[in-house]
Amino acid sequence: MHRSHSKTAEITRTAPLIAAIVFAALFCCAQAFGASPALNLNENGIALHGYDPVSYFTNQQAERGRSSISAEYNGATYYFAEKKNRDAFLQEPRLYEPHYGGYCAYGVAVGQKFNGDPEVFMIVEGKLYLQLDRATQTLWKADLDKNIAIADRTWPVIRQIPANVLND
Amino acid sequence: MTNAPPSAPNTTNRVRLTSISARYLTRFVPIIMIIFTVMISLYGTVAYHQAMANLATKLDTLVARQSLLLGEAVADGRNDRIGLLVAQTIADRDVATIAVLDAEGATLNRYGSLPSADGPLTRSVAINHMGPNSYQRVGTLVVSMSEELAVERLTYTLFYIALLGIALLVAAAVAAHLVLRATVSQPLDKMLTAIRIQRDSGAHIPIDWDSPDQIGQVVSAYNALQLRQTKTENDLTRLHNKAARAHQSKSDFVGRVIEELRTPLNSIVGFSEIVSSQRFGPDTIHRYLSYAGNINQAARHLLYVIENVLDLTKLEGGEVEPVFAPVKVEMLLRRAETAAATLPHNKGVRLIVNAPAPGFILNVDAGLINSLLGKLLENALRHAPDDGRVELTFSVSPGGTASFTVHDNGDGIPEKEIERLLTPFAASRDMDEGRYHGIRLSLPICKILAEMHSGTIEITNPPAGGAAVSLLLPPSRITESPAPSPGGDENSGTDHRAPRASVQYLHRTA
Repeated sequence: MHRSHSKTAEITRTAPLIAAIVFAALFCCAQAFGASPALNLNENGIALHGYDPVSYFTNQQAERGRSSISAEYNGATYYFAEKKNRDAFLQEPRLYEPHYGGYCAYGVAVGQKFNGDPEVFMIVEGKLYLQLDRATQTLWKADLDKNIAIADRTWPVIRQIPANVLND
Repeated sequence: MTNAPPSAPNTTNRVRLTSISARYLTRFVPIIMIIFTVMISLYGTVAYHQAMANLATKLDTLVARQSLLLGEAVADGRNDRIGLLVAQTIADRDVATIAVLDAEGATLNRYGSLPSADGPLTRSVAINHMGPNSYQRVGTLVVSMSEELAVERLTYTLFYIALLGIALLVAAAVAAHLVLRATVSQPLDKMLTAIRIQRDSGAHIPIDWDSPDQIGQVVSAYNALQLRQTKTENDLTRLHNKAARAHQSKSDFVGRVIEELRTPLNSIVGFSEIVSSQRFGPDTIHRYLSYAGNINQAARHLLYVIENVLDLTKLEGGEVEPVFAPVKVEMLLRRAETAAATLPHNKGVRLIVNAPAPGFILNVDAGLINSLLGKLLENALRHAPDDGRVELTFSVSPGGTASFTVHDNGDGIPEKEIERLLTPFAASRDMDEGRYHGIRLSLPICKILAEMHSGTIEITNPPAGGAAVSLLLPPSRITESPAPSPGGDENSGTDHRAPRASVQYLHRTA
């Protein structure tokens, strides 16, 4: 692995300018997408890690979207598995948006912004809730109504606060 | 390997790889090694970054989950539950350290040393607890992960990939060697062996190799060149031998001609000296006259020899071009007969011409054939004894060969001389004396004249006695044969005394 280290060092030495330009471009991109702390987006401004938001409601399953079928809404890019899903989404985006900006629902209840796993989801009363992982989901489901009620009260408070600030 | 023996003697002083396969592999293997090393390095780098990214994601999820699970326990101050959760977390081998701090920063539980919060694989997360109305912060969870295990896994993977690559390289090298040996080294070795053998011994050995590729074409081209060279060398050898023989025979001929000229010259010089100095006194005029006759005879012979040598030289030099035209056999025989009348001969010798059934026409040069028959008759007339006879016969064998035969009733020709008589002056000198005068030159001339007509001269001693010399002409020379029924018109015949033969009484001339 020494070779790999030296290789890495070499690459970083030889191309610091390129790296800086790439980072700057990504940052600008994120700004352009309006990366607000209220939405759980990945580094490219994609919501739901590229999963199809409509598929959760129509097929009751997590399905990866295709980058060729995408739509912008509220500063986030959504991918869709099928064009009719995109059409449905664009008609009424609010119906399909993940709740709490796509953050872990249980985390929001305790005032945290944790990444919501698009594979670990639950639809309650027509709203899409994502969870950190299956362990958290189990915990969350144990007292569903109370957790949702508390999270609904907490979310407006932490909505605009970045995740790292919450942990300080 | 099989190509080792040729290069083995060189290994002590300087390593020279003579085998194509070895030279190829000494380049092929390092290049592939370098490419392979670069590829492994690139893959290792990418895989390392991927592993680190996976580890970071895993750490994020882990620290978030554990902070959620720890919330109630920390709020309630239940150290047993905190310990359980810490133990559960630490069960993951990737986790290096974990520390649970309360709201004031005091350590509630930990495993390993407290990691600094800004390490590369360290996460610090607030532990919040859900109150009845809102959440409150009850502590902090700090987890760090070690990359050692991930690196170790990656190293193993790279190691096995490298092993696989080396195995593949060895297999490729062996395969390349075998294929090269079968398609390139073997034919090259064979060529090399053939070339060495040719260089050392001069023997042309065709290379036993057949393939449709370029090497096969080179081998077949080489074989063709060798074949052509062999042929050329054989031709050269043959031509050289021929030239050498021709030169030798020419030298011999010149030597014999000079010898031939010296004898009559000696006579002329000797007799003329006697006569001019009157060695036997002034009164013996008869003796001197006899010597003058001798001088004249020697000078004539000299002239004869020189003329014949001149003829022979012309004929051999190709200066005489035969002109073939259809000629009646009767015409040829008649001319020969007429010419024979003026030739010198012994007393009472008769010439008998045996005419054939009229109607034979030959495609020959009449002048040359007459000259040939004249020489044969001249020899025969000299050879025939007093009151002897000479027969000139034309006949056609059942096989179609036409022959003119001149037969005299003198002595037979010694067997050992028959063959040599056809070479100028090759026969023994005795043959030329007296009756055989000039035969040593005239018969070779006849031979050349016969060969101009694709024919031959045959010398035999027939059982009836005497000697017979025949001109044999191939069937293709006969352009017309008489009708099967005998008897022709009067005009075609000669003035024979008998229907089939004419006898001429020749009178001795001076």
